[in-house]
Amino acid sequence: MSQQKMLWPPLTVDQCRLRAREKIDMKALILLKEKNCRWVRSFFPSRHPGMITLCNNSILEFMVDFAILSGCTEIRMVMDEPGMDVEQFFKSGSRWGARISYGNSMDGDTLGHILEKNHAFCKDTSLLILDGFFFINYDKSLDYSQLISLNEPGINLTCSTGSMFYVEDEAAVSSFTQDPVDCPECSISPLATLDDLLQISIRIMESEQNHYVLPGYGSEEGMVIGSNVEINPTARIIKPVILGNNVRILGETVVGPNATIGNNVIIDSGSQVEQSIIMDGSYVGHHLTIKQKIVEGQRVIDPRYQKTLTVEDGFLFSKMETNQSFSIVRTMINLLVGLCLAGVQLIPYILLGSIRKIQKDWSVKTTACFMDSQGTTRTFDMVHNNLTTCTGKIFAALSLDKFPLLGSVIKGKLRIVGNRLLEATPKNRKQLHDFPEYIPGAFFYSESDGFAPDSPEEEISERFYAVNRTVLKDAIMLLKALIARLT
Amino acid sequence: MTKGDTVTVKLLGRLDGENPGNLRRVIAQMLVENDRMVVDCSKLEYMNSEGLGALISCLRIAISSGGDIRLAEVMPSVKIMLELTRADKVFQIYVTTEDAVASFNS
Amino acid sequence: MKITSTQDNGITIIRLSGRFDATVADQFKESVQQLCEKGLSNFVIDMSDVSYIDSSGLGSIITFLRKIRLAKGDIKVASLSDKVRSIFQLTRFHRVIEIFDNSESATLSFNTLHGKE
Repeated sequence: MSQQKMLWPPLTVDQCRLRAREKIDMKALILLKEKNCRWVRSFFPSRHPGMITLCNNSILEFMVDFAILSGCTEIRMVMDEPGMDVEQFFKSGSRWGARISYGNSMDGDTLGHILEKNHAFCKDTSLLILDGFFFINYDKSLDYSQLISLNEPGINLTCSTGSMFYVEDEAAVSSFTQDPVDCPECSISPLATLDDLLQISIRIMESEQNHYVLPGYGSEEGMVIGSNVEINPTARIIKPVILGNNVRILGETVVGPNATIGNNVIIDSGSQVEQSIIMDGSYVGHHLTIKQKIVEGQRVIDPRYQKTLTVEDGFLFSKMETNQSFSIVRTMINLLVGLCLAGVQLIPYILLGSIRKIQKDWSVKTTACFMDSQGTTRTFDMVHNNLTTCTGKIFAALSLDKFPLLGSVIKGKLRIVGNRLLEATPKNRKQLHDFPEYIPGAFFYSESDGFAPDSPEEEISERFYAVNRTVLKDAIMLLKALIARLT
Repeated sequence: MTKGDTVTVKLLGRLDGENPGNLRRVIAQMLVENDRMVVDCSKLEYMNSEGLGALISCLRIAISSGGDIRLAEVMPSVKIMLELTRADKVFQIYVTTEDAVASFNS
Repeated sequence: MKITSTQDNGITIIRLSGRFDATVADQFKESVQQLCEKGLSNFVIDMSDVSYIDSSGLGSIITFLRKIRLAKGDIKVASLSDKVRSIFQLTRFHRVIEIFDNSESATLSFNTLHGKE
């Protein structure tokens, strides 16, 4: 670290005492803008970039720890692409002894915009602003609350992926033109590539384990172990190593040096993990060598090539499956309702269908549709119904256009109520990629709301129902849809 | 394509599904004539454990008659697989096909 | 649901309180219709007293938003409770409408012109 530039005259002893007595309240604003961390998503699609872990501590958690160390009692996290996993983890912040709240920004908002949008939070207080996606190098044994108040009017640290600054109040932000100043007690490192993640991890493990609050018990120098960890006596652990909770390290393995093992991980016999990170919930098979890599479930990511290999051989690498709630009730209901509807509709379908066939009023086309947000497809018989004719209207009123889909419902391949079935086109694929809750059904949610297909109203309605799914709500939706059609 | 005594084989696409079995048969056949082989992997996108197993059993055949199978122009995803399974210690891997072929002559 | 509106420097602030669900969506649509007819085009919806919003509530805000944007106006929302905010996020509504944590800033933001990055 370079020499500290003295841009501001240091405070006198009296000024220090005055400040200490004043005990200025400080709040922290953590801004995670998608543009700074978009690169992470291609390697770790299932989580918010702020939740990526270094030494089993998420990047956001390091930021929160630093904010609290600096004397902040309230923290607001503002994201333009919010993550439910972030809020579920941090909740209201009681675990850290601070009040954590959340806000939204839009892509393209300047810092000024964001301060406006969070004015109620930012007014009348000094602010620690962490703007970007970076790692703060600090030491928990130092007193940062004093450091910050001793550097009037503020600190400005910058790196390629963000900046950190302290300002007396939000008005000062716009006039904050200080050049970046180096501070020996803390600095920030960019997180721009996978290699940054790996190298910072290794650096922490090798020489800075004491600087940060890492989850686990550090009884020995160089080792941090979580709870419920089983290490086979024939396994070799070479420090520094960090192990999470519920870890099984089997026989003849070599773990370390510089290995971080997350929670719920099994390293099977004969394997070697060195200079690597094994993320939560991974199974590592027998006799494998993992060097300078990041493993998450079936995905092996290599920072050298910036490439992810998705291993299809489950015995080599796989995800540790968490208990999924298997809804037998839902399957039964689907089957019963499917059979009932099919029974009721069979005769009208055949009668009306044949009449309409003569009129050439409708058609059944086998189309491939998406089954989930990952792009799996299945073919279904979709009815194209001409609604202008009288028979067309009766057809729709009796929901006969759903009849061909009931076969799939009865077989258990399709839900009776779900999101609208989308044809397998690239445009729809794009729409689905940030909609993980998508599950299609024969009758779709927004039918009862009556919004036009592909309108923003329909999209929002579909997402709303997808997130709040319950068996009861689905049943009500179905009834509403059926009744709405009849009237 | 035959260069002197060394055969170059080019693999395309994914080595999974039924391909490993077929590969083993084809290469075993070729090894009868020429036991010095270079496998050009520049267009090989993915290899699963069966695919690797097929290559290794072919390697055993080649070695048993005094020859070798060497790999060239391996793409990152396949390289990662070879490193994970330690197969990168078993095969000689070259950056270009020419280098691999030349290595047999030295 | 109670709906009140006030004016501040040419911006109309609509205060809602209670549950914003299907039963009140029509009431909301009527109220905004009346406001639109008066020629007003810039709105801030203060949701500090809104305890819950469902898809019909969201839907009526979107319909309102579309109409206003066609008339070259805009709507911003302020003071969302955690529950309402998470519904906005889950439905990706936060991408479509600007969210503030207080109505004063939302109102002021109409009058200042910031260049976007």
